Amino acid sequence: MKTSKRLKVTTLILVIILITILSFLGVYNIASFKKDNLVKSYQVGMELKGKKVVRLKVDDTVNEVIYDSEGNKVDQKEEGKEYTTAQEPVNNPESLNKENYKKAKKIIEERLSFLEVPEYKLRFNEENGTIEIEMNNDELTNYVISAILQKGEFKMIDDETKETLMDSSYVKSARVVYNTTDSGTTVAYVDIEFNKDGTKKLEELSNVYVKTTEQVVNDEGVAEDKTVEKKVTVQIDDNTIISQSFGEPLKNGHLYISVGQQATTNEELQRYALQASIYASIIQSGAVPFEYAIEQNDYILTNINENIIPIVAIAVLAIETIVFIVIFKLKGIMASVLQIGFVSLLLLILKYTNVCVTMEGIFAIVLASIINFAFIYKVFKNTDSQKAVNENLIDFINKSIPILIVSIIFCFVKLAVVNSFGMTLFWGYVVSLLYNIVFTKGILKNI
Amino acid sequence: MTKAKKIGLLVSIVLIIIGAIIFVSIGFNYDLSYGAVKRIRVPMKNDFSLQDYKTIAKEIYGNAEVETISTFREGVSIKVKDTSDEQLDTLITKINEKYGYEYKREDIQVTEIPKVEVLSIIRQAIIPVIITLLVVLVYMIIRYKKLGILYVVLNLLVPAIITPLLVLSIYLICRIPVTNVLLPILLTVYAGSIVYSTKQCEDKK
Repeated sequence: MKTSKRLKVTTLILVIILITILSFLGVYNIASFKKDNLVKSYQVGMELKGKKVVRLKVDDTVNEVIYDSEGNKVDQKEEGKEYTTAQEPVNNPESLNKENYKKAKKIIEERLSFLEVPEYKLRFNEENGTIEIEMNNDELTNYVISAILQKGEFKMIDDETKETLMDSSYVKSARVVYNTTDSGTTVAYVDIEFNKDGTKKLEELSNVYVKTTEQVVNDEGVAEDKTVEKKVTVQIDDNTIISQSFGEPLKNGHLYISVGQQATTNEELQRYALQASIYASIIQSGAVPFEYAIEQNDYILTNINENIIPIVAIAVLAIETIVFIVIFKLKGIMASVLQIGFVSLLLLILKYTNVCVTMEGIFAIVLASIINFAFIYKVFKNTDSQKAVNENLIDFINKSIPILIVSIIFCFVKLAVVNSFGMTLFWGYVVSLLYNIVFTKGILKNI
Repeated sequence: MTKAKKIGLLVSIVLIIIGAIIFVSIGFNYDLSYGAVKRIRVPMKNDFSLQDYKTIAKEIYGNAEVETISTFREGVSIKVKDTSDEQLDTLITKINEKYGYEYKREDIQVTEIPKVEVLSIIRQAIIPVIITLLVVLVYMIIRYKKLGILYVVLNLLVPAIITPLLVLSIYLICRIPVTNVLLPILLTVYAGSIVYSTKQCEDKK
């Protein structure tokens, strides 16, 4: 071997060793008190770090309700007046049956899906309606919990008389939309699309609930203009979202409700958008037939953590190394070094591309490793390894297209389990291709 | 199709049918993390070793999943298939002995946890899998049109559908407990079947 070739091979092997050290051991800042690893950590799914466990049970609270002498509900008793009290359960016992429990589960699943919760596990007891959800614990978790906990009765009422004008039976769908004003601020809206009857009703309301000007005579006997505003209040579970009159007749069956103020920063916009998503998810999915209460809300640490990723990688590499050495003897050591370099680089890339590694992702690492193993095996099996690299690379690309299609489509799926598998497999292929062009070809050309 | 492949296909179909019968009659075998279990919630001070709890739980229940509640170690969650009053009393006694606490039965909360349906786990991946299968099918029909549409269709769909079903059947027949590796295995097997089908078509081209 010529000196230049030997130098090239040595350099490439040293780079592989460096990648392996960075990937498996990391770089530590000795000067720092905490001796932090300067290499980025993995982003992992709930199975590898911890999960929020929220247990919802059918609310069995019984409230004491006060009625005045006319039979109206009152909040507090006043002296000198007669009242009657009654024990009333939060949930009507007639609504508590299997059918409604199943309906509630479906609605909650719809809300989770609408809010694009990436990773969750739902347990359901159809006998008593108890639902337990395990999900990722992040900044969105509390929003999600508030969305699933609400009963979600959507109503549009007359602001004065409190008469119900429209309810969820008129709604076709709901979504979040944004509008950027001329001043550059963005507003998040809930766009409620009504069905055929709802569209008609909305048009009628938009003609009635408007601002008008009436002539009235004041105390001094002078006629003057007075603005009269008839308002519609939009409510979810008796909580007012907005109270407004219509500026123009709404004929297209869409009602846009602004959420929050005009956002000038991303954080503000994100907050309003999340609130709008919660409203939209509730309006879209409909009302749960009864009320749930939180029985447990725990963060549970899992027994396995991100360390499982390098452990699995080392286990797979150990098997592959043994196979290479048994088959190729001394040449097998070089094949193993190349394979170790590939897996190390893949793990490093996964850290820096922020791929959320779940159990599915770990399996994709194993699959990518096997595919690269097969490539190196084919190259080393051939006596003319250098020629084999070129031929096998073309073959590799041809055979990769379908699985690349699969991995790319999986990358666009919001669910973490599928997304993690797709992303890891995608990077597995990209890294394998580039790695083999640079390292495998580079080493075999100069060996 | 070679004789070995025919036999393999036949055996697979038989296993899938047996699996389907077991699924309808008995269903899957669930482990502690996916099955209907009981969770014993023990409140703790920040002075315990999870390993101690694992040992105690193993002594009493044999199979138990012990996890820490909250990053501030507020308690321990012990998942077991079932628990009797006697077992709970033993658990409290052992905890009190180990840590010098004076816990009583009312300090420990036992809740029933329903199972996670296997179908709900699989359903998450079904639509993406169908979409990928259709796109890959179109690609392969165009790329390998010389091999004949029927060959390409069968070569892709048979392994892609049969292998995941076979895995589920093996889970059912061998009563392998359903854990969090089921979906990863199914996805890996599916991706592997795509790699296999492509290889078959490329080699025959």
